[in-house]
Amino acid sequence: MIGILNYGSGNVTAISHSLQKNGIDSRIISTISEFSGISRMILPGVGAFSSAMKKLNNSGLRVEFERHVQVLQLPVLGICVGLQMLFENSEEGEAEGLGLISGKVIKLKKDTQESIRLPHIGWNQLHINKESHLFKKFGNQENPEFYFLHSYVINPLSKDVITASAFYESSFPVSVESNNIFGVQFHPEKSHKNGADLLKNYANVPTH
Amino acid sequence: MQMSLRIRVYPVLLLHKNQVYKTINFKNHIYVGDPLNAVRIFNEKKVDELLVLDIDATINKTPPNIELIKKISRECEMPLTYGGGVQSLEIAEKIIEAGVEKIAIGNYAIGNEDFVNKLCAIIGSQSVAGVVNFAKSVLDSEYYIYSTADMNLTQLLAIHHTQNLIGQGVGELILNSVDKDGTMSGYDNYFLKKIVHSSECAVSILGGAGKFEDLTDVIREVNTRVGLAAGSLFTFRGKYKSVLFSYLSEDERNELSKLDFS
Repeated sequence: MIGILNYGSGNVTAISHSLQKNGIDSRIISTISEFSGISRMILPGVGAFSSAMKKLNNSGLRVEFERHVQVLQLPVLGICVGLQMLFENSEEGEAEGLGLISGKVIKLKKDTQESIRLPHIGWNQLHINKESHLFKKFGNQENPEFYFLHSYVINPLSKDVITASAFYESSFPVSVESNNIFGVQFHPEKSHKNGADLLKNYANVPTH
Repeated sequence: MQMSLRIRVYPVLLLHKNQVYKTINFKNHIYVGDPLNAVRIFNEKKVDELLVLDIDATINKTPPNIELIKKISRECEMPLTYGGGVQSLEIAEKIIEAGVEKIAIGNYAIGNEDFVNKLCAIIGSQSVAGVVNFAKSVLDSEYYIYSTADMNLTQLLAIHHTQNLIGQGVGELILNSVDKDGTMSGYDNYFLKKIVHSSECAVSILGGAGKFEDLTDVIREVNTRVGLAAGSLFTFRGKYKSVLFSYLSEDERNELSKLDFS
């Protein structure tokens, strides 16, 4: 059973429907008691990093969520801003992130630091640079496409956690895997078949 | 490793009396079909995104139909933008909660620029699109904003209003030509060219696409990444405009993705 954190940000409905359409059981977690019986979690997120973190902090769910990730070691998949929240902080605003992965979140720029047309919006191809549970059986497609809608990107301290990158004016990480922690910058719930396949892969990620 | 972001091409559905209609120059409403059926067909065709606009809300002063939006969103497998009658932050948040990715603000942004600003702060700039309905004045040949509240040209220069929207932080501008709407005679590139090089947000063009070449022509002429939105092109087929929801063919997708631009 996948638990989707409903802390006030993120397209919980879209994720829930997408899972349902693909035969994956899920529950929307709005209260602490709803964590019961969950085998893995999804942390959604849209909008600004600081406002999403503020909502998570005020939701009453944060501590229990962190316990499930760090103590119970259940898998968690951060989506879009949800991925960014796994990190320490962001150039966008003053808020602190969850710090579950070392590194920060920075604004998309050209390599030359010139500003670019933002947000990064539309369908872009992934360059999968490491074996990840999320991309199992994507074999036929060398560079699968997913839907992106964001202006900030993650900058992990350790490049080892990066499982895929994309290119828009410069190359940047778009997915991570670190033990039980997974994250994607794009929106699998809105990426047609590739998104569905990724979510199915996540549903089958082995638990410890 | 250089791969690129594809040019976005997406259909537009106009909601009138909770059904899909098409217009010409924002008038002459023709019934097209059921919105959920349209969404299902577009799902199958794997369209890039979908823009749904309620064209009654502003003129009738009615709020968005949240129940219908929820149904459309539940059905829709691609990113969804909704516009029409969004006049409060609460309504905007409800619509986002219903599963919509982006909110489009058109008429209400005229004179209410700080609403746009606040909306961007709450739901994020990337989730806010400013719809710029523009038309050419017969008096001075300048482009002005068209009001969907009065169904008339205002005295607000389109370029000024667009710059206001950019200043308010919209993630995207949707430049919608009233003169070209429903005519299938090609996009109006003139205004697009003025905007696209003086803006750093995403830009889409809408109004007038009648054949595939209209899409490639725009990209070649502005030589930059632009979202291509179309209503009639993906709704009608043939001389007699029979209703047939369609999308790009595989060949057309490939041709678009090969276009070179800066």
